[in-house]
Amino acid sequence: MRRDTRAGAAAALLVLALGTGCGQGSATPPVPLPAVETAAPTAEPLSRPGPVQLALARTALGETLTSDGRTLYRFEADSADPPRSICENDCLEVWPPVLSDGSPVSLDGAIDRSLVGTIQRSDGTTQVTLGGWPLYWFVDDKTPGDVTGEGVGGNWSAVGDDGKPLVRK
Amino acid sequence: MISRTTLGARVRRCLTVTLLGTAVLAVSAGLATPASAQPRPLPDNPNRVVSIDDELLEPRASTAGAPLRFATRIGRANDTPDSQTWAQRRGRLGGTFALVHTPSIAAAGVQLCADVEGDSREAGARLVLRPCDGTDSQLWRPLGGGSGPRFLQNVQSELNMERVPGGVVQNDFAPREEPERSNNQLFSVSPKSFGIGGA
Repeated sequence: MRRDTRAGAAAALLVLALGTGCGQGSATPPVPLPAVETAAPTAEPLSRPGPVQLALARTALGETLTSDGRTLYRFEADSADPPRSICENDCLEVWPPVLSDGSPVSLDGAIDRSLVGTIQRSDGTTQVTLGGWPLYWFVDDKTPGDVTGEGVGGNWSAVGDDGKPLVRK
Repeated sequence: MISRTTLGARVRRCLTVTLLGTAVLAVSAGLATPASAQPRPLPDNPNRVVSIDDELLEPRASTAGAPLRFATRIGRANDTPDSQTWAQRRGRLGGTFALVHTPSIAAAGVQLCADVEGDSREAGARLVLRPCDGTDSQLWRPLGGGSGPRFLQNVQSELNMERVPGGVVQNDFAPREEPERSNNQLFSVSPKSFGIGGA
């Protein structure tokens, strides 16, 4: 019985081996996969310094921190103490930072003002933080309530009114 | 009619290629569906090895900024250590994936991905371990027909992963006169359990 199973498996492998044309050279010509979307080049910065308002909105994840009606995220690879952003280069195209023009951040809803702060980015701009965590939008969120950035790459978290992740990682 | 001996030799010769090829096929079929907009990301394909000859992709250290290299496989199949394995994570773009270093997942801290140093679009830029940020410079697209090893094209730079002495870089397609360089751009991404080699 056991012998039969092994023989069957061997036969299956044999069929695979013969059927895959493995005698060919390994350098196969490049054939691009069809229908792959490409990211549109960004003509202008996705976020620019301005007055910032933080608010709370009900999403599928619960009471979620937002600004301009869009969900805000934190990057777990950043740090809160001291507040620091390591999101640079192409990271900023996908995760536009919430940039302040220096005017006081206005708050809509039950957000503790003592948790709100800012950091100076390496390009000189000022990014708003909550609980020390620099805040970002996600480029794929299109409408209020979207939380498509949650968990992207494993290190991005939608946050609540205290700046903590809504989904435990 | 193929004689038993010839058949045996042919099977032995092709077994590695076939096993790896089948894995690549299965993996790319699973990744071919465009990612839909949903809050919960789809599960990873864990415990993958990125192989070329008898070498596996690994970082020099399990820390952010560590350069990547190809090194001799340690252990056989499931004995392959985490330091030489990656989770294949579906990218934002259809048919693409990120490579998440297994120890960084197990540590439940910041997850680390294969990335291009400085998010460079230049040929020759080295590959390093960086916090996974979901961006195109951390996404790879398998290219190439058939069931054999594939080119792994960086989605942002559209340059291919290439093994060079002491490290890994991104580079353009090699011209016909440089078949050796082309061979250093062909990789298999497969479950570590399919591995046959090992020291």
